[in-house]
Amino acid sequence: MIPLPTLSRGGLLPDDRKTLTRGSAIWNAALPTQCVVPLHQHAGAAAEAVVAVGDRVREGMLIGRAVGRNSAHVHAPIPGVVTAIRSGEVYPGRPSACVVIDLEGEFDRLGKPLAPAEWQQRSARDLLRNLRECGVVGMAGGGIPADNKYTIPRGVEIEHLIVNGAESEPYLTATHRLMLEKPAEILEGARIAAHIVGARRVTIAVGRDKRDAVAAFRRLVRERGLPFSVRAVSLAYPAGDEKLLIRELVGREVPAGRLPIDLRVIVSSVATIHAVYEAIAFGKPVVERVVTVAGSMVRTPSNVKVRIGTPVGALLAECGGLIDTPARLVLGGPMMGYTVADMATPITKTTTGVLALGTDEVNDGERTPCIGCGRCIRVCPVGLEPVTLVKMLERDRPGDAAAAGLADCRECGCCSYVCPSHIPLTETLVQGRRRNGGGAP
Amino acid sequence: MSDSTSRSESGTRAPFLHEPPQVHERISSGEILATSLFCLLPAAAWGTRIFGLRAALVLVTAVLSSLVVEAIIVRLFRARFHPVEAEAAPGWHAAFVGLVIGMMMPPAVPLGIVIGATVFAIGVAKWTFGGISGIWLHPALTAWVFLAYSWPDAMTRWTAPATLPPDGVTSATALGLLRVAAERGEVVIGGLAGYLGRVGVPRTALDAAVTGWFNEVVSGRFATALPAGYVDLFLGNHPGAIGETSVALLLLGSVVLFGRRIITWEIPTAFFLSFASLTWVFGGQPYGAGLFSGDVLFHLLTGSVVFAMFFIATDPSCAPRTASGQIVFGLGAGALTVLFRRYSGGAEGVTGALLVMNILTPAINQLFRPRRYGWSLRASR
Ligand code: SF4
Ligand code: SF4
Repeated sequence: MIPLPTLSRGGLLPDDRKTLTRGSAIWNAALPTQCVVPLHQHAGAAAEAVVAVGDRVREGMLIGRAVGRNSAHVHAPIPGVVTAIRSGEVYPGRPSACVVIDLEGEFDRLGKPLAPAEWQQRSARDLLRNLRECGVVGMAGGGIPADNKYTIPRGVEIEHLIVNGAESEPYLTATHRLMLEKPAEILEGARIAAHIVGARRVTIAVGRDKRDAVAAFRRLVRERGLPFSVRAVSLAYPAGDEKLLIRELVGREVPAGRLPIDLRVIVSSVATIHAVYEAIAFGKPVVERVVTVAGSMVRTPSNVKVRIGTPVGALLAECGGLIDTPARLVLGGPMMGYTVADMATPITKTTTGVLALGTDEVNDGERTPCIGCGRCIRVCPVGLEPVTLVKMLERDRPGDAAAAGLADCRECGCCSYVCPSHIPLTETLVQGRRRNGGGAP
Repeated sequence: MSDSTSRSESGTRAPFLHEPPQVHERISSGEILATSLFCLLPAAAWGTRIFGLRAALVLVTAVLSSLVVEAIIVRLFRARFHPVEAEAAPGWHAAFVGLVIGMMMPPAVPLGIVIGATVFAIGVAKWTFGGISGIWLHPALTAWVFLAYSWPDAMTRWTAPATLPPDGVTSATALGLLRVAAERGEVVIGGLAGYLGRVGVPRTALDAAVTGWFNEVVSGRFATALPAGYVDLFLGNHPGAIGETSVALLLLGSVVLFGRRIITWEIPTAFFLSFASLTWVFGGQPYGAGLFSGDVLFHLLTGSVVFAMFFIATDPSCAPRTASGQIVFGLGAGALTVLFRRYSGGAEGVTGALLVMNILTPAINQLFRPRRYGWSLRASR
């Protein structure tokens, strides 16, 4: 990647390796013989199992009930028998109870075309309940339940809904393909979401590298006379970051310590909006998602629609298997995703990609002393000085780090990516935030 | 069933667990320092060509002695340094500093002085501050100043380049000759290089040929003429420190540094702009000319301005880290160079200028910070 010309607002021009999968149309993975469905795939508390070992489940049946507002329902992605409920590791590296379902029996819903249901006459409350029943969460990684996010506090009027199709993480093209192949569904989903939150304006934000998707949206918007604007946004990573996207599209910054909703803006990813559409139009729960499978160690890099709970190993096998042992096996994008230790780790609602990276992609290196080059400062999209913050944290001065803006870090990974001394800057900052109570952005 | 898939029993494990980011730019600090060193080599090689094996000996001594000094220090005081610093030494950084020191030396300098310089640079300027990440005064500059005050004679004894026809005055540097002229109150007309020619500095045949061609083909059309001597200065056919004479080869090295994004435009550009504009405005005064008559080209081609601009001022460990800070740093360095060239004791001003800017760097870093997202007045409404 090339650091952008200085004096800019940080970010990287990625050697994005999206060409691996950009042209690969989404195909359906074969059904896994076994699904390991975590009960904790979202932001809040884990769902509570409502099935027991030996139970027979149908596809889309509720198997985990949300506990609390920020939690979400979990549904059976395949029909079959519950053979175990056990603990397992789930992205991003936290343990969760998992319901293990062995494939068995009939399909009674997917694969059969349905007419989309009418939703215009339904109230926001009704639609929100529908989203909750279907377990829709932020599917680009955040995992915040859609119904929670779209429940607008009394007295707040949402001005602007932004549909985030920037997809600036390298490698990932699942959103790009989804936008190309389902633009009408996404626009309809955006209408639904705008209806729920009462947004006056809707902007579809698409990364500038995805010209075809921009064109597809523009054409549809024109044909249907929708009052949406379609904007090509920066392709520098991390343009897709919620706060940065707002700066680019709205021209204002979310004040430190506040939320987008304080600017009367709501940002939802394309994948989430698509899930919203399916939930409202067909009552379909989130039991599958589109995942980019890429990296130089994957024989056939692809975009695959895969059932939640499919083990990573099974998905990779579908993509022709691995060429060699990967240096890192990553769930999510290369900049913000986590490695997994185990091929049995399941795909969850928030898994955007599965990457099997070779050593020449990872470019690991020994940590050497800071040479003061300032690259980390130049790339930081929110104007922090990672080198200074890390020095403070390493010298055990978290108070100073907090004053210098630790809480503003977007955990985007840019600083670690460019540091020629291979200092784990982002890693240290993330740990510092966890330890000192600076929660997720 | 659950046993066979439980993660602890599963056979396939990826070798490591890592936090994001999972990928890294293909670059390392070692590579950056090594590339900087290699980019200096053409100019260094030129120095050995015009000043002979003696210059090569100085360069080799400087580099080796830096490495040895660093190895000894790290060995003796390992426990006092950050493990990461100690682990990385001796390395490319010491070699680079050593080469820079060598290139700043007069060709005939006694080798003991060279070794003393590296001890001072590596031992004092680098490791008393804990290694690379603690440096705040450029080690090579610090060492040079130390030498210039301790052995002023040895540091100003110059050698005539082998490429010039032998002549009595050629072993004085161009800047030195001009300083004498200014002190005597001589009036210099017709370009500073022209003055050098009149006081007997010889020129190569190449200079005459290129200047003639240039005046015929290019500048004749604009009713100006390139005086003789500049081509020699540009190519490096003049006395001076081992590595600073050939502006052409230094520029060549800097092109690689820019291309590999090891240095960025801010410092050199700001340095050039302030140096050139101030030289143009005030540079003519010492020689009896008025304002706006300075000979910018001459001042750029002599002394170590170009060398310092690309290879010393840009040294990341002692320059500001933000773009705006670097611009201020460059502007200040250029202005101070002009000032020191005119008023300081030695003919060379760039060393002192950069050291002053080094001292100011922590303050610049404090003042010129990146703007933080979400903290502006506009953002908070
Ligand atoms: S991880 Fe944090 S500090 Fe590093 S570049 Fe991103 S926002 Fe800046
Ligand atoms: S990028 Fe790395 S080496 Fe450069 S200033 Fe930041 S921490 Fe230091």
